[in-house]
Amino acid sequence: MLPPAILIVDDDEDYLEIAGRAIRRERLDTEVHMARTGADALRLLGLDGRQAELSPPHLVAVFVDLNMPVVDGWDVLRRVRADERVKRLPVVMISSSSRVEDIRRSYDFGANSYVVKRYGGAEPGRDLARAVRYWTELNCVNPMTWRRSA
Amino acid sequence: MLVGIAISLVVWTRAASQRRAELSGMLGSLADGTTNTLEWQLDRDANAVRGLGMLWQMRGTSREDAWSLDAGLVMDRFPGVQWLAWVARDSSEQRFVARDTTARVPPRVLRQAQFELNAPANTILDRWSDAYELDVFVPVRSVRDSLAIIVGEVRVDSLWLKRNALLSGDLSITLLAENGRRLPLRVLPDRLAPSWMRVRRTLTSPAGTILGVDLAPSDDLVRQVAMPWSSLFLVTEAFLSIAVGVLLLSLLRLRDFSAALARTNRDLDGRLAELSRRDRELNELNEALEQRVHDRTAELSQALREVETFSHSISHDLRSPIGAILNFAAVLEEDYGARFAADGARLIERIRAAAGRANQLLDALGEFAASGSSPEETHAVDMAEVAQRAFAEAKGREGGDDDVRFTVGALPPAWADPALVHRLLVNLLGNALKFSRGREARVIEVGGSEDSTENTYWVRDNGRGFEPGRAEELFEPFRRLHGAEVEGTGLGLAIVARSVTRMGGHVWAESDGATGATFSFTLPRPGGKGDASAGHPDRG
Repeated sequence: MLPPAILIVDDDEDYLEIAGRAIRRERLDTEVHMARTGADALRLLGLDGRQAELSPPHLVAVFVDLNMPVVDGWDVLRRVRADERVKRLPVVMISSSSRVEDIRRSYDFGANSYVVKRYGGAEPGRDLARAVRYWTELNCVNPMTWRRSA
Repeated sequence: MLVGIAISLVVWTRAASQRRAELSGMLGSLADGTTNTLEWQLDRDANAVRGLGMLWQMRGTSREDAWSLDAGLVMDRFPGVQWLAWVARDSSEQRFVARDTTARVPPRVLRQAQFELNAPANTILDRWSDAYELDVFVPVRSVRDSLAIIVGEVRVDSLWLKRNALLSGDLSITLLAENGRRLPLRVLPDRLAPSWMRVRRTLTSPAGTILGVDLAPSDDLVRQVAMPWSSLFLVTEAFLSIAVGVLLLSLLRLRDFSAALARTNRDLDGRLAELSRRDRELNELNEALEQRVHDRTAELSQALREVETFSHSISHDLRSPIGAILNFAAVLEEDYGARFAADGARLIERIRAAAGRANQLLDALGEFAASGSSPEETHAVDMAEVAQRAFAEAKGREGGDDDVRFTVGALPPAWADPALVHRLLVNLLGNALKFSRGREARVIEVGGSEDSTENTYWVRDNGRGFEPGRAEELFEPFRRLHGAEVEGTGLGLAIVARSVTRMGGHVWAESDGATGATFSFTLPRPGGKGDASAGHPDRG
């Protein structure tokens, strides 16, 4: 059986690298897909009118950086929530901003969670890796993760 | 008014002419009566004289004495004859004057009669001895066709004349000769009697002489008749004069008034124009000013937005690379640390520290930018709880500091944006922790009080304090009063001051420079007169 897949979207290549390392360190049985732009993410999810490369139930969660050029995290979030095929997909916002208005707006648009990027501490990317663990192993809402845990 | 005057004049003229016609008629009747009476009188007197002449004829040329006797007989026979005189000329052209024998004739009259008789023979003269006597000389042709002329002088009783005059309407009489010469009987009231009142009648003397008689009303009659009209005229005239005068006066005053009104009007127009001009100017100035304020405000807002966007994007865009340095340094240390020599590990640590400071600065910059924005939402805040959380966060930021005794007094609840309050307390408490490091028995206290308009909160530490005269500088961004031995971004207290000002309060600091410092700030109470621009008394 294929491991559950997640999609991480961030224009910061460095952060993607750190995130990938952190997830590997967590030893999660997860297929990690990465997109460098919001448009790439929409393409992978089949929200640009073409065939989706990633879709539920194989895809169990999307992690989206808030601040990206052209198509930002909120755009991706809204497009996901507006499409019948993927509207129930968990979406976690990632941002270096801890501004209340950014967090509130994300939840207003239907985000499932909000992870603040922290720099400088030990084990960089650990917060994100923990969130990935939750949505791939501990979350019982997604049918795929539920079957696996069962 | 003019129409009224014209109507008054017409009515008055018509009434006057009507009255004049009536009066003329009345005078005419009077004149007729008077003339008849006069004729009758003259006729009678003439008869008397004729009788006298007959006597003379019978007796021939008589002597003076005989005349006197005869005259006396005539007078007895004709009681109306008062006085008789006659003149005769004999054949030898000698004049003979028969004298009056009547004792009643005054000598003055006789002398006058003699004088008059020296005049040409057929001249009729009147003799007027006094105002009430009428003498009539009637020429009498001598029977003996001598040159003698009998002049009968008939004296009319003044009482009679007067009575008849009165009866006949108080007329005066003028006798006129045939040639129109006036024979003054008495002084006629010419002055008073207008010509239309004068009535002319003819009178035939017993001798056949046609006499013209002018009859005129007496002064009294004229007064009686004319005065009412004069009075009426005078009254009307006065009334009209007054009316016209009033009218003219009114017109003059009206003209003056309207001229004054026009002047006032012009004046007012001028002022109005001036006022509206000033109003226009003021409006233009106002609009220009408003436009300038609007422009400046827009520029300022734009500049502020740009600054905020700039600081936001700086803190965000720098965050990624600095974060990457931090992260990769951490990864390097964690995954490959064992392979580095001690010097390499130290250098990696230096990289991490430097990137960490940059990261802190970015955090502070972000906070500083956020502290300038308007309060998010304002509601009641439990300050003691916020102080506890803020202390925990401040302690967590730096690490260590477990030796600090932290006490929170009874704090009045605030009405504020909890996020802003939390941030400013984190900074104040972080500041207190930082400056008390290395001291024995570190104590940090938080306290507060309230009055009718604002709450005051303070954070006190027993650290090193600051120079008392430089309290103001503490709150300026990037102003650091200590050297590198105390870490910091230089933005903590600036964030505090900005946050407090944003919420309508004031902030100030006190220290003796040795035994600690107290940082205080106020927050306006809801409904209180919190005014951000008012200075706090403690700050001078």
